[in-house]
Amino acid sequence: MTRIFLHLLLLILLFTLQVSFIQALPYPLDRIPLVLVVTIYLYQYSNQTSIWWWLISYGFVLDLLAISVAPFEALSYAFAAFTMVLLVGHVFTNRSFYGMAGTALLCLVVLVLSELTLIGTAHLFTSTRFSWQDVVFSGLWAMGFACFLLLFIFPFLRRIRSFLSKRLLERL
Amino acid sequence: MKSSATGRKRFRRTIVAAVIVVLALFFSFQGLLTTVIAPVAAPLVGLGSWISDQVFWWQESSNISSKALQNLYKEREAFAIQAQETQALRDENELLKAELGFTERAGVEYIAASVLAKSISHSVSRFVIDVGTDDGAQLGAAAVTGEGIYVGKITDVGKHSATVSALTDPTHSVAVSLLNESRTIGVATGSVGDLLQIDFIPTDEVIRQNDLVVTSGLEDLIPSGLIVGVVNTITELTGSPFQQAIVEPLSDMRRLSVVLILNPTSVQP
Repeated sequence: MTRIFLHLLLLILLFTLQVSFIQALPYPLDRIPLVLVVTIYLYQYSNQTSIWWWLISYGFVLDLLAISVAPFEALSYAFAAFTMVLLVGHVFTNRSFYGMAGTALLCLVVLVLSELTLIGTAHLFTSTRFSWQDVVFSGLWAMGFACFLLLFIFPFLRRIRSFLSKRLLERL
Repeated sequence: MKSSATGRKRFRRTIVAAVIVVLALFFSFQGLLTTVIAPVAAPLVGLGSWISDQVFWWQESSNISSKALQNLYKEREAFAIQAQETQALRDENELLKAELGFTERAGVEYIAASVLAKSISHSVSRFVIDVGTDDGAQLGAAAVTGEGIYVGKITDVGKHSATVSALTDPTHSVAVSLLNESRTIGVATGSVGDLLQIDFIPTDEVIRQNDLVVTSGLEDLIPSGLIVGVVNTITELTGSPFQQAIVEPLSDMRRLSVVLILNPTSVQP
């Protein structure tokens, strides 16, 4: 139960950081896919296999807040989560940067394709204008930032974590 | 065997947890979620908007000093407000008090709201605010800046929060009036990008670049005279009896972290 609450707390913090802080940053920094990258990092690298549903919950939050470009984001993120599970289970190893980058990039490709399909379908029934180039460019920026985060930020965080745990262990 | 049973148990537990969370989120009607995130979200949006603001001035200052440009923008806003006031005074409203703040000037009640989340791109421009029906917000109510510049309108409302579609959102449209000689009226819609467009303006209407665009008051919950933007380009379509005006909005959602929601009960178009 404590674990579930801890997950929920982390999840809410992560979502808030994404929709409130990152999305308020100037373009193209607002395209940083923090939730997706953190989920992939924890799922693939830290073997936290019970967090696949974070992505789907994020999709629900986007639907709930009604601020996303595509309708039914929960569905798009469910596809992305499924892709992540599939890739980590059968394609990529869980100990290399390339594996994580591959998972992140392919998940983003699936996400963008799903969003485009849903926007296109919605476009058939409404007269809303949309620019597919914008969604694709957003996806490309997101891919760049995903690789950047995985390559530079997370190894740095890992070092801090190991440094802290070593220090704490020394004190104990 | 034992590890397989443990794995199944863990999987079942994860599924149950996921279902509980998903259902809780889905049935929380926005209110619960936004109430929980509000204390953290508002300062985060403020910080993000501040960074956007700094970057905006830095980007715009390649040809002109940042300070000078900032002053020019302030002057432009002041001129826009002044022109709108002059016209309104001439036309109909002698009760406006020019030197007071917008809400006092317009005599409209308002609710101050903090922005909790944003989504801005060429295809979507929306934000979530921390006021909902419990605070008096209504579907279709106008959101303005402190100076009375129109930002957008509420398109989705919960008990404690609401989603506002900014005027540049492709799904957004608002009834507007141009402050030209014939007071052309039309509907400004968000086009793909950061501009608005007004279609179907008869070619016999004389519109000029830099004409002010204000809300017309033809919508129930949106008062007249809220500044929307200035005419940037006029396109005459060959063989068509209509022309199109491209409008540059005066509000920039990326740099906003607080807005005013006009109280519909006090709005009198």
